[in-house]
Amino acid sequence: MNFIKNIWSDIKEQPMLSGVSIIGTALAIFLIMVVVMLQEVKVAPFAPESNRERLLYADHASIYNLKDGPDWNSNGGMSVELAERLYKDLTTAEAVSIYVNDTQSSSASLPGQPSVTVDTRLCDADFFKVFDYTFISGAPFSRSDSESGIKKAVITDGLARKIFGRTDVVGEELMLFRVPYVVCGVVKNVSTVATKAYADAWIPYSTSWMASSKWNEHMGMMSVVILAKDGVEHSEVKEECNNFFNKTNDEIEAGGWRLIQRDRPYDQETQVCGSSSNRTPDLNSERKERIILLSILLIVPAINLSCMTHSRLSQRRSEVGVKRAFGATRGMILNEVLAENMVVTLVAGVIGFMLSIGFAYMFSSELFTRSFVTLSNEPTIELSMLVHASTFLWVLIFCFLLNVLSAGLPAWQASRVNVVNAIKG
Amino acid sequence: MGIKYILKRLLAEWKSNMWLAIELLIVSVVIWIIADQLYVVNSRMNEDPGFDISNTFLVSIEELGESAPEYSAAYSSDSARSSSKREVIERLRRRPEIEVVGLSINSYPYNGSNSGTMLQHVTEDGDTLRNSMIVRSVSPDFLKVFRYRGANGETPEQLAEIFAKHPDGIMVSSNVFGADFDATVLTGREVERYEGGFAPVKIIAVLQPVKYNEYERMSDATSVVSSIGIDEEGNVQGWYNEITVRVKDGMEKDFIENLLADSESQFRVGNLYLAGVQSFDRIAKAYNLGRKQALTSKFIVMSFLLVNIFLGLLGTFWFRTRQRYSEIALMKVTGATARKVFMTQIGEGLVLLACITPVAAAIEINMAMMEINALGDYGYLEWPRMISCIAIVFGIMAFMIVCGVSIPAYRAMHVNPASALHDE
Repeated sequence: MNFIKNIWSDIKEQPMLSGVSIIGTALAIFLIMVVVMLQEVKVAPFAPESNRERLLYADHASIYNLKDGPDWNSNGGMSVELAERLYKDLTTAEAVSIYVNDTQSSSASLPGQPSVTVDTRLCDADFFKVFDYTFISGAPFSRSDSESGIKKAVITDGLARKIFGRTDVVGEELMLFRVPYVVCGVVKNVSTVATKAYADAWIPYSTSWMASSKWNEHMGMMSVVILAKDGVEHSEVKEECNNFFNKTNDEIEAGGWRLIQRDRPYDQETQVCGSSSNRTPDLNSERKERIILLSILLIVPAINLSCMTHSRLSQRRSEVGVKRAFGATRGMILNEVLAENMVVTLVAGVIGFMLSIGFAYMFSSELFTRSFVTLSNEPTIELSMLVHASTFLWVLIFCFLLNVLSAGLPAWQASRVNVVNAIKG
Repeated sequence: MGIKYILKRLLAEWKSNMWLAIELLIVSVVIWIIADQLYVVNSRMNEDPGFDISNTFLVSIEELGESAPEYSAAYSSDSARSSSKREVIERLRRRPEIEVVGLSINSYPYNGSNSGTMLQHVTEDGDTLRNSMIVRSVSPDFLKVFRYRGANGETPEQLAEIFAKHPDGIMVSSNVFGADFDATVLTGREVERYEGGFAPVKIIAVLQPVKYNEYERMSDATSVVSSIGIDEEGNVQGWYNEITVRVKDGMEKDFIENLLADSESQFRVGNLYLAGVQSFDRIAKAYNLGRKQALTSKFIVMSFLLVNIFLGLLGTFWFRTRQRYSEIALMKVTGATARKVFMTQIGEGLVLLACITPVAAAIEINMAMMEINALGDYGYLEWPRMISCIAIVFGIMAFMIVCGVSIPAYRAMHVNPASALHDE
């Protein structure tokens, strides 16, 4: 109780300095948490991308003709055959899905009715094993459906409402790309923020011309996502991928082609570093940049706050002197100052954290709209995407760091105060 | 009094001033990095991109799948497909609001393709110039859609005419062999183009450089334009082409709605149908969004740091004013005006900034030499840019300092000597 009283009287004593300290701390934590949350949305799991920690991606392949040499390479999607050769037989994977990386803008309507534009994902049946969609009714199309090109579609409840006016539409017919598809399942809407899982409708890729589209003999329109078996390390999956890669290269060499691996497949964090097909993502430099940014966001306010704490403490010199005279050790003074400051930092930290969540909601359209693609839906944000158990941990860590950086030196100086000088005046 | 007095005061409080100086130094450098990038981006955005997307639209024509109820096998042969496509293009051309219709492969602005080739030229001095560049395979009218212009002042119409007459030739950007070589001298001459091996090809016109997007460096905007290949009957080689249109001035407003409304009655030809229309404004917005977001976040970081400077100075000087109550009162007693008291406080902040600016500049010049700032058109260290950016940073920082110090300085101005010196 005394402890809280101390803090309160200190704040009351110097309202301007304390106010500026609290605003400064809240602002720092606010911006740091925005940076943290923007990254978490990209890498931390949320439904239907709940398995992000176990996912590996190969959006593209790279190939060159032996005649031209490796400097003259082509990069892009794979043909179905190449995707299967490279990834489909992985024993370290629980599921491997072949799909078209970009959603396709298509018309959707009831037969003979005016249409709306929707984003359709071309994929195989395993896509629904890799991502955990919440089925409101029905089920995904089966492997045999997708292999034999049966025209079945999974749609979101949002699309079902738009077209049919209700969601219990399993078994009904819907026109996609002007072709009739039978709805086999209805899932809960997916946010555009889930870059891979997002779509309004999912259909087997085998029902589209894209499945047979080929260029440079082995390349096509397909990408691959791998769900590693539970407990299997990414390195094990990658090693197995290497074996298939080398084997495939030996096989296609006779035809005059050779693949470049570029370290594929990538884990979630590497994947979001950049998806240029002709460049290996540079995770280290991306991390370095983030660490530099966070350091600046911590150090600049810390210097500020440190000046402020120093000023506040020098007003309390005599108080510290009295405490020392009555037997308080230097360690006790140091701990007390740090603990008092930590409480203020935490309070300000919570304000900053709330502000950052509010900010993410308010500016979700600006913050989370994806570049390069024009999608039919605006990004939607849920608390479960922004806040994870780890998020609270980050708030605590950054508050602690900010506290040590901003109050450490002044507290140390205060603890070394000369008792006689301090209580002289 | 004056600067000397201010320096004396700064030295007297050297401990807390040192922290302030360190903060000003770090923030100066970080803001310089951001200002430098914004400067580079801004100067690039002010360059002529070489294309014009106003009033332009991308029209997607798709083919019905075999399983579609409306599909007709009678239109599935190559010749039937070609004539359907020709008919759709013709009908687009005939629409009163459309000025011109272009066809292309991976060539419209912001399409994201890096499809490239290599050109080689042996100069009269025997030097071999070689460079790789973007390839744009287009129809002559495409040049009119995006209003490409010639390096010798040719209009898009003139370029289209030249292209229609010489479909086997190529057009290159004027900087195709670098900024130091003026490629206009190559007009009408042959160079070698790489396609599995070097083969001669004639340059029929030289273009103003066409950028990949507004953010690109002019020196990277090297490209070659070659014909998409249209036979005598008007059939386009290859099947999957992009159709782009330019709409007449003033008629762009309801263009998309009107075209979609007529899609069934006018654009269902053979197995083809109109799948969608997008304005290039929208395409550009989506394409540039990532860069815009990056710029916005830098702007936010910059604002945050400036707010910190404001708060830091506000807090420190507030405290100082309180400590110096009697000193300020004494100044006033010895004849200093309230304005002078105010200016002395502000002066302290500005002199501190002036002291760290040379140090910051030294760090910044070093960073530019180590190439860890933005890449401009002439490299990392461009003196006019460097000096402008240092000046901009000084200006912004000075403004924040004045804002931060003003509030406590205003309080200092109103110190009442009688009550402050009461005890003395």
